[in-house]
Amino acid sequence: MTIQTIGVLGSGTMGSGIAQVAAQAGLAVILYDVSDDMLGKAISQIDTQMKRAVEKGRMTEEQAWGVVGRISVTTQLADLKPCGCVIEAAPEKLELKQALFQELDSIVNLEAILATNTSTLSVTQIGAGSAYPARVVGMHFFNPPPLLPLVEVIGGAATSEATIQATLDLARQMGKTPVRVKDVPGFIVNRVARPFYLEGLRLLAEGVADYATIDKLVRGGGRFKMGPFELMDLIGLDINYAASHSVYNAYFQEPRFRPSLLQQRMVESGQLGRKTGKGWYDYNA
Amino acid sequence: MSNILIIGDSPLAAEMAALAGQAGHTALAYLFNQHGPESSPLANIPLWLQETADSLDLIVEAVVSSRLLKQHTIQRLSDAFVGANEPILTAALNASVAEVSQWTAHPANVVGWAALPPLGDAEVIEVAASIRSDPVMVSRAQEFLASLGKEPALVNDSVGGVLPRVVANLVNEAAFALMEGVASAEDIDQAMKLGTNYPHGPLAWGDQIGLDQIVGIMAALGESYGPDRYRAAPLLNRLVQAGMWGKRAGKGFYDYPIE
Repeated sequence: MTIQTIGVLGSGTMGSGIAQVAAQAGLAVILYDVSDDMLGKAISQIDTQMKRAVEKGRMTEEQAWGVVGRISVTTQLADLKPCGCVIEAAPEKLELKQALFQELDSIVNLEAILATNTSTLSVTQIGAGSAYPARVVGMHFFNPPPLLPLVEVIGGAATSEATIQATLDLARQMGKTPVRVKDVPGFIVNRVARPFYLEGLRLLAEGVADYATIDKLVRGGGRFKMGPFELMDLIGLDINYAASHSVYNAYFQEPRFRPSLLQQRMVESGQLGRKTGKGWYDYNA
Repeated sequence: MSNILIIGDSPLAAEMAALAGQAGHTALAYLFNQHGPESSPLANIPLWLQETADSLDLIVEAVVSSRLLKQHTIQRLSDAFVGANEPILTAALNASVAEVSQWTAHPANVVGWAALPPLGDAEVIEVAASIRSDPVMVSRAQEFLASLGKEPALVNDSVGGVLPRVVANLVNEAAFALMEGVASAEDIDQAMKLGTNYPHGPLAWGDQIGLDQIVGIMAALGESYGPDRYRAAPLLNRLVQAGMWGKRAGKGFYDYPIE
């Protein structure tokens, strides 16, 4: 069964990005949020992106209208009834996500997939909010979704094989490259990338080199696009610190994932990276 | 142009020899794949190597899979070759420069270097001085790396250096994830390349660096900082024990056709 209509819950950066990706792939999208304001902003942002794509010749005007035209917005969860899949991109609060899935149980038909874009919570635990956890799956997009091709498809302990296969297909239909992952904290990327930041921070804390030299060696010695400190500044030190913290705790304080005191101090002082004008580097200069 | 002796069990040694040759140096390479110190490759120094003893300008060592083997190699090198004038560049991947300096008769001559395969891709190579390194020797080490077209970047003496320590831990974490069945090797590599823009998948990179080398780096970090944080993934140990060191052995996380 090919999915023709998908719902997206939450119109923040991830939600609106996912909606755009789906609409660009020709799917009808119903974008839900509790706030009309947020929905308005999301649509005008997608609209701006499409106009830019037309200006740059990556898309015809007709195609751009098509993308925007395929997205409808609502503040009523009941409007998601026709969706073959609902992708939840609400704030990272377990109770909120569980409640949304419980409510969706009685709205969408039984074959519909309920996917969560969580990056830090357990898919299994979110699925426990639904009466039909076999259809609950993780579908983890990367920020910004229109640019990054990867989607982690996460099967929870109760997720059915059919749900996983259908989600892998949907990701491909959306033009993405899916990888299949077990439900462990951080999945693949957020977990395997931890040492990149944490060892960088340890090297700095031990005074082996300054942050700029560490970045230079990782970039120039290893052909990474960015060193750990530049990348932390781009991601946001608060976000990056929270990710380390969450993986560390989810693995029962496994020492490999122990967060950095240096980074904590930076976060406490509000030096969060590019978004505040200063992180490890100064962006106001 | 200088006469350089390059010795080691790391793919870095072969890559360094090729680079030195391209740069116009006379590069003598003594490469081996020995695992374990029982049979020190320098127990009997080959005749051709003995004959070069007096003409060497600089020695590069890259023995990374075993610290004991590194010690034997450095000691034999020191006894047989090193006079007061030749810098010894030791790969700081699995020992501190200070420690290695104590294995020679000329501690001031020992300078650290650190990099990872593929060395051809590296624009910058780290150089580490120990507390005992002679600044003249450090300068000569930097000049040598610059002659290869690489920018030397000075860092403090620390086991594993900067880049090898970061990357060895990435490979190790990916090995843990593979061992736990989180995803297939291909999917783990794909995810890291696409999700966070890494230049290589960590498992394929581990195969290229050499899994014995990764285990060597992790073991040295464990000895230095305590094993809690730097425990090698059991899967990594098992692959190395089985002789599956990666690309060089034809088998590692992936299979490689032997040409």
